[in-house]
Amino acid sequence: MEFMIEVVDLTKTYKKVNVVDHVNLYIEPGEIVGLLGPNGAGKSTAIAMISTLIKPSKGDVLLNQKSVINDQGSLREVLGVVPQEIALYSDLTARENLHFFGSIHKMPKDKLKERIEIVLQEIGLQDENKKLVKHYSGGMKRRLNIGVALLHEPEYLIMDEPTVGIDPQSRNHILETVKKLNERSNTAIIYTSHYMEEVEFLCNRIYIIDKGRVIASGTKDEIKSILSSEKTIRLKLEKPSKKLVEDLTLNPMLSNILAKDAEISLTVAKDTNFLPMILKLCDQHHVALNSFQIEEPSLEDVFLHLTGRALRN
Amino acid sequence: MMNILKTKFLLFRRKPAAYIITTIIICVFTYLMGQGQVTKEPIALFSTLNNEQQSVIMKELKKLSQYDFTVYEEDEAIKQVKDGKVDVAISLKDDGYKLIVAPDFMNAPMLGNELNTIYSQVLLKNAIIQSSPDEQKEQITSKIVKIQDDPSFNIGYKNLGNENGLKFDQKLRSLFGFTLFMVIYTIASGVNHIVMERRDRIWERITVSAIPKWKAYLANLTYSFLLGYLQIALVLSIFYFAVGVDFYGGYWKSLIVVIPYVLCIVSLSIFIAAIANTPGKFNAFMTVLAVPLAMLGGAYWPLEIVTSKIMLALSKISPIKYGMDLLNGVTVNSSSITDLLFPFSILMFMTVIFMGIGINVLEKKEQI
Repeated sequence: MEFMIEVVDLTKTYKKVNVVDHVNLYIEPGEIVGLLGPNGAGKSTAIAMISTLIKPSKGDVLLNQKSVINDQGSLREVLGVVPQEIALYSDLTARENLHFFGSIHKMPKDKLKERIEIVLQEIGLQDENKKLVKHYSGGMKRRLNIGVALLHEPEYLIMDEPTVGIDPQSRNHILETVKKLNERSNTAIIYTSHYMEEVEFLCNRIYIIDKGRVIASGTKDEIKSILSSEKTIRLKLEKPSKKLVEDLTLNPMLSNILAKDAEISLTVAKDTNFLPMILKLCDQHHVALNSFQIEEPSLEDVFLHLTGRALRN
Repeated sequence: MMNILKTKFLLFRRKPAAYIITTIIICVFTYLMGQGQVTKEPIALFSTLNNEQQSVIMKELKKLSQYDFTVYEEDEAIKQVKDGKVDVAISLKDDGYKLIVAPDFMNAPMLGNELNTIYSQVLLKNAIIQSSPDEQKEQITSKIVKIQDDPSFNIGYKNLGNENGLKFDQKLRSLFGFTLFMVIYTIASGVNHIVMERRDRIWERITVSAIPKWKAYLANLTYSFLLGYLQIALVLSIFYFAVGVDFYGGYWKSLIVVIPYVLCIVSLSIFIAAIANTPGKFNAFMTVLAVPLAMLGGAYWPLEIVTSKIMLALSKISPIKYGMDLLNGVTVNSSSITDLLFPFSILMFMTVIFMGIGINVLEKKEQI
């Protein structure tokens, strides 16, 4: 199989600590690949190396099997980057920002003009294009942040947590935009996030990263199959109970116990008859069980299973 | 590169207030410093001359711009000296003058020289007129006045205490000193764009674009240079054309010799930008640095009056000193090109060093 972008043993070491540790991944044309991991997992550093912004301490990034470490130009021509921060001039309008960032990609004037109109429409800012960016809402800035990276029609788009700090409505708009962009233009996307539901919604394949290492990879189903012999139970209690959680933790039938207020999630083996045991424990601790739900394991559960920690700790 | 430069000026157009205010501050302070620091020595006069003789002598005395002469009665003039209100009183007589001097007045010999010159000129003129026939007196008087107003040649002289032959013009010093000092802030505001763009990740977008990194640096540095240079040119032009400050024929030259200074400050700002990671720190460092550079470099007072060897040694690391040397060199001091070569070379050396280290550190930090 020929991979367009391939990352081989990518490592970045700062002060003798590997913040990215022998990461291997690939992305084929037209697919959306997710890098899922908690804050500080090394996603952004990996992204910076893949987009040729920083040089790796070890390893390589290949485009069509050619290293781009010392020949960044070939990758930069086909690459668009959406940084985590709002990388825009706040004292320029959306149109002026688009014009500037398009012009530094040396796009012909007519083509740039045409692309600005298309991108403004795609990101839903055609009516607000003459407003200074500093007067935009967080969601509008995020959309423009993405739009800027789309101007030169990159074949590959790297998006580093593009929905951080915005309202759910704007987030949905962005996710829909990304999905449509991929479907319509076949742009391959590397999407980093610590929001499991975003990655689940968008990505064909997923790499789960923790402490600089890829700890799981594959399609959604492949990754979830790590917990195929288990099921996730979500309990809603009348009130929080520390002692109940402690007793649940001691029970060898249960694992991945995560309590938040009066809600507890845990995993049990598929054939286990867990309910009598849980009802008994609730009774012992005088806590009423309001409801319970049996779910297929999510990526969050897989992450918890693999690391013992929640994604968004 | 032109796209980056155009965008910089577009951003500048959106927020020109800081630039305009800085320019106004330079003009106002330069004007005030230029005016305020020309302190004239008050001198009390009394005379036994007739009105005509007195007015002739007074006319000559008023040409001595460092003194402020006021005519009193004899008793009152001497009282002024006794009370310490003036340091010196002059008694003007037919056959000469007499100085009544306070003990701490050190300029008596210099003032005496000036008065000797005036008296000898007036006495000579009177002698020529008196010795000439009556019918030609009027003609000879007008001829002497004409010769005095438009002499065939001038004899220049230098004060022996001033070994380098440096002259001092307070208006020009204030203008040059304050302009070179304040323009540091203007240039820094331009270079701060790089720090802000790195913080906001705009720099990353530029890095992965089709524009080579060196062009991105060049565009930013050109922008900072133009901001600073145009401000200096504007201020010097206002004082030359509107205020009428005497540049001793070196106005155009001053616009040229200021270029290495502006380049050096752009470089220094890049060096500081490499040390500071945030725009706030960068501004703080530049603010803290600019004041001592100005003090050491002679922007506030002439280095010729500084006696501390440490201060004089430290002044050699201030670009302002060399900027002032160049500007004074092409104006008030009328220095030769050879004399200007030294400050020019030092500024260019500083430019290369600061720029080299600054950009290298910036690039290395980008890899972290």
